[in-house]
Formats: sequence, structure tokens, C-alpha cells
Amino acid sequence: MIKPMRKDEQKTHFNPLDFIYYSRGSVIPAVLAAAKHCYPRCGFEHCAALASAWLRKQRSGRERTACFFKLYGRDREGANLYVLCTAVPPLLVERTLSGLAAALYEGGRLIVVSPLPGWRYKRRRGGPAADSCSLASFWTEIEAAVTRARLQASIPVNERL
Amino acid sequence: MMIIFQCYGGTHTSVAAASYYLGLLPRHRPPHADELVALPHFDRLGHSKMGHLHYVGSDLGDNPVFVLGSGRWRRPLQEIIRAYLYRDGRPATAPVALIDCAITLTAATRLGGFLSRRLGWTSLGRPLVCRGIRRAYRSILAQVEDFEKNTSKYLIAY
Repeated sequence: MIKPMRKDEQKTHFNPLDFIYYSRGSVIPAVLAAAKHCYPRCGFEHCAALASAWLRKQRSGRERTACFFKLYGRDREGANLYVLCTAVPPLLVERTLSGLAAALYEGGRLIVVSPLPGWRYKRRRGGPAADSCSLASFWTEIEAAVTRARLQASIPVNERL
Repeated sequence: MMIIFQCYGGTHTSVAAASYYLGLLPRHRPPHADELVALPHFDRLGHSKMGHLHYVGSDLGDNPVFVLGSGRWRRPLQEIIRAYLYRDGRPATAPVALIDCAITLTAATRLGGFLSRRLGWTSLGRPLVCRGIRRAYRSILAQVEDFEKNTSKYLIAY
């Protein structure tokens, strides 16, 4: 016999806003975007240093899973920033996690920020690491994604289409 | 508890399993085609609806039951859901059970689902899907009964 759902566990309140920075293939774009979100005034060099320090800390355990999902930190407004890297298409992840958040948590919002520009692909082609022009465009895309996420968060839920 | 039945498209096998669980289909015989077609979401959700959680109903304990189509990303998506529910180190308050129905998929259901949902040839695909579900009804039912007996085996967050 399946246990009935208690009234208090039907929906729980959680952090009002969660951002999930999602990148496919490499975690680097997602971590860079999360760093940019936390420190909006920082440029690429500073964010890259922050991101690499954070990644070193996370990978100390050398665990390898199909899905990398970690809390990066909190922004000034108190929203949680998560970093997600997996091979699953972004739309599928966004729909599933949004549905889960809506079904399980009350009063919370989840913003999945994707697509972020690819990193590994570009690097193989002599991308961001080698070419200053493509690095600039990569960083512009990251900045645009962060700005879009912030704008999305500022729009009340009932006004969104 | 939140109960999620998961399969490839989230519109055939998972809907049949969820319906068995909710008592919308008789357990003593294979379902008729018209009974299957009358089920909510059965052979109605297209490729564009993949990843959405679709509410099917609530069981006797008032636990909400959903179906989820996750394409060929079943296992990775299960990991993402688990990671999301445990994102702060502690699980969500409400337990979540995930039943992977893709193991009960038959070739007829697979082919019929492709014809009906991907190519839009419903008149050709739907009978094939119904035949596949009817043939696999014992294994679908066995999985549902196993879930009812050993719920803890299917819990991904508790």
C-alpha cells in the first residue's frame, strides 16, 4: 500500500529563485556564466580565474558522472546559482526541471539558462583559447545569456508568456 | 509522494502503466483498443511535448501521478532529476518515485509510436501501438505491481 501524501509534504517552500546555468559538452561556459552572474562588473580574465579556482575545488574528488550538477553560489539578491553539464538536450532538461519545480515546490522559480556557447568545439577549431576575436564573441554570448537570465528573473511570473 | 512513469515518448507505455496503477484499466484481461485510446494522453503527445511532466491523476492516497517522455535520454535524465532533488544535499520534502517503463516496450509499440507520433500516420500507427500494449500488458502490469509492493526500490528522492 502506497503511503498517502501528507498535507505538509505536498508542496514545500524553497528558495524564491534558482538559476541553472546549463552547458553541453563542457562545464566551462556554465561556470563562466555563473561567475559573471555573481560578479557582474568583472571581465573575462577575472571570471576565468574565479571559474578555474572553483572547478579545481570541485574536481578534487576526481568523481566522474554523466551529469555535473553543483551549486556555484548565491548572487546579491539571494538567488541560488547552479551549474549543470550533461549531454541531454537543453530543452528536455528545462522542461523536466521546470515541471518538477512547479509540482514539488510552491512559490519558487527556476530559470534554466541555455543555450550557452560551446567551448570544446570552438577550442578544437582554434577557438576562444587561441583566437582573441572568437574569445570576444564567446564572452559576449556569455554576457548576453547572463543579462537575459537577469531580465527573465525581473519579469513577474504572471506577465511571462 | 510524487509518482512519475517514464518511457520514450511518454504517451504509450507509461500512460498504460500509469492507468493500470490508477485503476483506469482492468487488470484481469488485456485492454481493448478503444479502452486504450480513451485514456488521457494516450497516443496524443508528440515529439514536441517530450520532457514535460503530464498529470494523469491521483491515486487513492492522493499522490499525484505523472508521465514523462524522455526520448533516448532516460538514464541521464533520471540522474539530472536525482541531482536536482538532492541539490542542497538534502532531498525534497515529498518523496519522488520514478518508474522506467521503457523496459516493457515491444517492437510493435516502438514502430507504431514512430508511425503515429513522428510521421503523423495515426491510422496506421495507433492499431500497432494498441497491439503492442495488449501483448505487453502482463509485463507492464507486473512492473506496476512490483512498484506497489516494493515502492522503496523506485524512490529516487525520499
